[in-house]
Amino acid sequence: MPEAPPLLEVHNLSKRFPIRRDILGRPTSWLSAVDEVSFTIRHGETFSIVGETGCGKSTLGQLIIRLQPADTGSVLFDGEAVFSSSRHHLGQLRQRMQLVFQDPFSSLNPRMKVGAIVSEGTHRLRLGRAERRRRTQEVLEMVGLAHSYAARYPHELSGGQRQRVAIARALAANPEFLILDEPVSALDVSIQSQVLNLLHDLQQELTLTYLFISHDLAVVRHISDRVGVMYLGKLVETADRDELFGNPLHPYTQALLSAIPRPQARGQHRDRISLEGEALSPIDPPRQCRFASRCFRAIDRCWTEVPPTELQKPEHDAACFNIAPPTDSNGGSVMRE
Amino acid sequence: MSALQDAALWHEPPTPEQTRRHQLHAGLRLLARNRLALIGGGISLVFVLIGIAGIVIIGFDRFHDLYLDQTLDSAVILRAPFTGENVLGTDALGRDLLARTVAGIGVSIMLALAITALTLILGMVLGTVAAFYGGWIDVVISAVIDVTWGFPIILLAVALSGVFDRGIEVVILSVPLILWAGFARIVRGEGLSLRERDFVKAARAMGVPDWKIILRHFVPNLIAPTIVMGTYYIPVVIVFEGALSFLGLGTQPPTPSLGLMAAEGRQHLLNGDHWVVTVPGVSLVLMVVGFNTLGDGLRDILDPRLRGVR
Amino acid sequence: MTAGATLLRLLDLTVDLATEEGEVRPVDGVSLSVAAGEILGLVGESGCGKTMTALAIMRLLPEPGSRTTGAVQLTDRDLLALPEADMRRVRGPSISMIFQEPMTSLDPVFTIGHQLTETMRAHHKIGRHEARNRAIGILEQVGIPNPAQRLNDYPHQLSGGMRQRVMIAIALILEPQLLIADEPTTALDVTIQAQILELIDDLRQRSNMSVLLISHDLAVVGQVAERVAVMYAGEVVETMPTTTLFAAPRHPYTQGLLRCIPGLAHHTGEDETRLHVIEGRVPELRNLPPACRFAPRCPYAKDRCWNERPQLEKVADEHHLRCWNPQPFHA
Repeated sequence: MPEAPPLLEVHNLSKRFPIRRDILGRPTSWLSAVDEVSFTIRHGETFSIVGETGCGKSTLGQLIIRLQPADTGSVLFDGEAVFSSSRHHLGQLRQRMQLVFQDPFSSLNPRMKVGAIVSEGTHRLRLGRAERRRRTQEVLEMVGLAHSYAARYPHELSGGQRQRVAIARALAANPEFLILDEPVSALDVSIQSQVLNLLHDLQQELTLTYLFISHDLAVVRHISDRVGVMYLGKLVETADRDELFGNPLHPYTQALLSAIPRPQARGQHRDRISLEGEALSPIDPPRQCRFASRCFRAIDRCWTEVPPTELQKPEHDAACFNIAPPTDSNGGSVMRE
Repeated sequence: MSALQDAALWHEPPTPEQTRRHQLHAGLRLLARNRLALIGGGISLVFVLIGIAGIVIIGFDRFHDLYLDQTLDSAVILRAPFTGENVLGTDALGRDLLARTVAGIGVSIMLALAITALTLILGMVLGTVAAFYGGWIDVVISAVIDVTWGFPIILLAVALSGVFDRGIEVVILSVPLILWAGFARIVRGEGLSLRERDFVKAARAMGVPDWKIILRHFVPNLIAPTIVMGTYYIPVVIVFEGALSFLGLGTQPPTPSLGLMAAEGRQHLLNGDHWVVTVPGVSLVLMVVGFNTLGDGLRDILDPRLRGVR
Repeated sequence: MTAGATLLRLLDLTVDLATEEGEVRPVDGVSLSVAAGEILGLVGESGCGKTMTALAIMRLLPEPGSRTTGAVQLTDRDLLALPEADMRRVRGPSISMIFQEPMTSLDPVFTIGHQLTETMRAHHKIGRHEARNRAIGILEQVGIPNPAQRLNDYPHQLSGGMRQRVMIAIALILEPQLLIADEPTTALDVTIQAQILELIDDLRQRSNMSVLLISHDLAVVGQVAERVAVMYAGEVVETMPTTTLFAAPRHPYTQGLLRCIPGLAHHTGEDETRLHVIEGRVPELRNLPPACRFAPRCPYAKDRCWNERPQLEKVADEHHLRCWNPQPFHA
């Protein structure tokens, strides 16, 4: 949907965490979790952020809804600035944006019944007791749980059912935008597909916009319209789903795609891109390309300058000084064989 | 098609009734297996009942004769247990030891429950606030905790006794003023980990007000450590009350208190009239052992992680 | 693949566990074999008994509290009948195991060099110097750069991928005949996962070691295993060559699992926006279905599946199946 207007615009978002402090408590060392990340999500689409452990993708999600304060940058939600809004206004914005966490075991209060958990999601709507109850039943039904589940405690439910409850809680506020932080990673494959289907159906019915955060390339490929790839706090490549999986430009994306296990190819020697070298430490990173230490195409310039994000093709951004299309042996054809 | 073949049956989790029954069974089994908790609970219950009787005796003027009635009749003073009409004997003033011990236990239990409650409330509020808000609030509260936690209670009691001219107020104030710090530290620790739990983050992301988050998400998850610490503080307070009264800083005569009774009786120990000390002393020890055992058992049941931790 | 002599044979392996809620049977009558130099994949969802099976082979289940019956034959010895002292000599030189979470299985207070040499010196009479040289050699083999310097590192100084390599090095230093790898790559990133899987496969080829690879991820297993056994609720429901797993599995559960995976759904020509779903959930061990354990979730269940327990039976060469109503697979 290239013509849909933007719902969420993220500009130069950065977040650093202090690691060490001097004797006066002033930070002397910083972990750069998110560094000058910019992207746009359009109405009704699913935008995925994919990356490996510690790349800052979860922090990014929490910065957007101001669960943690960002250092610099701005977020526009439906044209309104999220960071500069007053406490009251932020409350209204938060009702329109909801977050679903990865682990359905820790995201539900074990001492609360499912009904109470879900109805907490409605609290911004200022409903009466009866209306709130009705709304709770309604969203439980939407996620495929019978009314009777309202009286259960989370520990009585399976992982998949808990994640449905977490989704119901997010939906209860009647949001337009969901940030889904690894929502299926803790689930078994057979349950994972149930939840992915549910997310798909809900998006259709309620015209939701998703920011889908995941490390699982197969899941991302399945659910996304557009995809951004993160590496050590940097968004290194953004493109349409088919374009990104079919024609990745950034060497990290190419390596990532080539590493996906390919069951059918057992026994044959694979043309996997092997990433040599140690990953750069995110603590006080030098001004250079953060991927250079593991990159198979690094040139001198990569060690001295930060590559800017540039439009390489229509609707396809990448931050790299040495862009090259995937060769036949290692790149985009990987997922299509 | 048999009833078993209904696939839905296998897709549903157990009903709440089944789970509740199941939990009840599991709880009872744990309790039954935990003999310590049962024995401790039994002893504690006996002392609580005696304590209630004691409070009644102290509370109504017409019972005061029971334990205040003095005499100088040498046939009645320092009478040994089981030798006359006074079952547990009498003290140097001819007062009935049974009645005095019951009344003393009443004082102990009442003070222990009140002071423990005060300690828990103080610790819970300050610990939760420190953990939830963090930042400079946490720094200040943590500093106060650190200073308080090392402070000797007896020293504070001596200082306070100057202000209040001794008396029960000294005990009521000095003990919780120090003890809260230990509990606040535990609450703060649990709170810090709760704050990072996703369900608290989720509530914050939904814009739930702070007080509601604390009430709904913090307090219910702090109940287990509260019960465990409560059963730990009760015997501690009993011992402190006994010690302070023994030193003359706590309960003042003629109100009976186990510590005070032991102090009054100690000069008679040398004459062989040991029961004046042993009757209140043994009661105190039994009571403390009972509550400690109950505390240990509850700790095992409620929080396996704390097993063996003191 | 050349089928070597059978190295490990499980016969009717059954584990009973005493829990708070009473006795349960997480592993029920598992029979499997692993040939010398073969990688056997053991797949299933959480709670299906795959880790329990591994721990039962190693005899690492808590005692008392558990009872293991059946037989675990390593060449011609039954490990379940060995005295504990002999079993200790089996763990390490004959079978070693790597676990999912490398951080918790490495001792944080010792350097990795110490942990490697101690393992060696516990089983062989070798000098300090020789042990050190061998440790450097094995670290090099598992692809750790600057092995001599790394010997002095503590586990926390290494990245997740490096730690998993160290775990593998410790498991391999005694040159075991069988390596049990329990979700060896689940905690790792995809780029590292690919390297570890390749490493395991290389080592097998070089030393003719056998591997029992336990994973929930069909794609991971499919990449390196020659044969695959699928477990469900404590039972093996299907064993087959890996090629069959992806081309013609017969058990409805195996087929369902395969169709659930987003990456693979694209090959099956199904509707792209919806994934295949296995309805319901894994049964609780305390409350298992009466006959076939998959029946409540099976779209093809018939009366017999509810009344009579299916047995694992041979349906083709190297293909065994536990099902009353096997289905053709539409790829």
